[in-house]
Amino acid sequence: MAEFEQEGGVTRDDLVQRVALMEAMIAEGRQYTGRNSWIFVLWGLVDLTAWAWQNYSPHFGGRWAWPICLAAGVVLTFVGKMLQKSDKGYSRSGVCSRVMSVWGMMGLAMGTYVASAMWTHFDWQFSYIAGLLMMLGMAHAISAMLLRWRIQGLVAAVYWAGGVAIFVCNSWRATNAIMLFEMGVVMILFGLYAMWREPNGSGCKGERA
Amino acid sequence: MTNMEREDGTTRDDLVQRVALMEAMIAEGRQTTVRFGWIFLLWGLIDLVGVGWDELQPDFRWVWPITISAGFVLQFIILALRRKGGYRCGGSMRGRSVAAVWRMMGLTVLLYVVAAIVQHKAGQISYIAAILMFVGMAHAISAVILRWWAQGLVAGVWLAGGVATFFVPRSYVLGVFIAEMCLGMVLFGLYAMWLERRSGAQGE
Repeated sequence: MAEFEQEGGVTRDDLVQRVALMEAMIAEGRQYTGRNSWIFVLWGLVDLTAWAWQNYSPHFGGRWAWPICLAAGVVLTFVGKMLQKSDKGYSRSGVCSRVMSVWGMMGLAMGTYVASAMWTHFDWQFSYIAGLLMMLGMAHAISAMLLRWRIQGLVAAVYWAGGVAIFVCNSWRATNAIMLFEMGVVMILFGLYAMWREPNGSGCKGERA
Repeated sequence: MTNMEREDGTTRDDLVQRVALMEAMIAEGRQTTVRFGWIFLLWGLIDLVGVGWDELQPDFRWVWPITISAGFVLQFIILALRRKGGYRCGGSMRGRSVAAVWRMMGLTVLLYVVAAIVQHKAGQISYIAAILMFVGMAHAISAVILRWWAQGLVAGVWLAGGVATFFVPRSYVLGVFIAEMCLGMVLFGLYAMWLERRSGAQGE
C-alpha cells in the first residue's frame, strides 16, 4: 500500500507505529495484571479460609475469623509484593501504572469500608456485601476498559450480577452462596487464568516499545 | 548544560522531550475532567433536591427514582447541547482512562442504587457508605492517574464520609450525605468549572 500523507502531515507509517505502540502498552498492562494475578488467588484462598472457619468452626474463635484472615491477607500481599519488587528489571509503562492505581485505590477504599463496617458491626447487612462485590466489579471493569480485555470485562459483569443478586434474593442462604462463588471461585479462577496467560512470567521487563 | 549521552543512547534532550510529553498528557487528562466539571455540580444539586424532597414527603416512594431519572435526562440534554457547541471528550490515552473510570463508576452506582431501591434496602447504613466509597474510589483513581492533589483531597473527603457514616449516630447520617454533596460534588464541580473558564480565558 502506498504511503499517503494526511492533512496534519501524519504519514501512514506514523499511524501504524502509534497503533503498534498503543497495542504494546496494552499488552504490557495485561502482562502486568498477569504477573500480579497471584494476588487474586491469594485473596480467593483468604476469603475461602475465613468463610470455612466461620461456618465450620464457629466456636473456635469464629467471630475473629474474618479480621484475622483479612489481616493475614494484607500481610501476605505486602510480603509477596516486596519479594516481587526485589526482582531486577522490574519496570512499568503508563498503562501498567494506571492499572496499578486502579487496584491500589480499590484496596484503599475496600480496606476502609470493610474495617469500618466490621468495627461498627454493620457487616451483616445485605448492602454491605453487595457493596463489596460492586466495588470489585468496578475495579475489574475499569481495568478491562484500560486493557481492552474482554475476559476481565466478563469478570466485572459477574461481580456486578452477584451484587444485584444479593439484593434480589434477599436471603442469607443465597447471600452466603453468592459470596462463596464470587469471592472464592471467580477470584481464584480469574487469578489462575491471568497467571496462565502471562507468557513465561516475562512481565513488563525489557519489552517496552 | 551539555547534551550528554547515556549508556542506553538516550540523550538529555530525549528525556526532556519525554517529560514534556508526559506533562502535556497529564494536563490534557485534567482538562477532560475540568470540561465535565458541570456533571459534578449537576449531580450534587440533583442529590440535594432528592434529599430535600424526601424530607418533605417521606411516604412518597418515587422520590429517588424520579430524581435520578431527571438527573440522567438533564445530563444527556446538556451533553448533547455541548456536543453541538463543539465540545469533545479528550482523545489522549490518559483522558480516555479517566473517562473509563467515571463511566464504570456511574454504571456501578446505577446498578447498586436501582437494586437497593427496588428491594427497599436503601435505608441501610452500609448502602449509603458504599455509595460514598464508590465515588471516593473513582476520585482517588483519577487523582493518581492525573497526579492532581486537589482531586486527591476530594477523594479523601468522600472516603472519610464513607467511614463517618458507619460511626456517627443514625440521625447524623443525612448530615454527612448532605456535606459530601456540597463539598465533594457542588464545590468540586464549581472549582472544575472555574478552572475551565480560566484555561479558556488564557487560551484566548
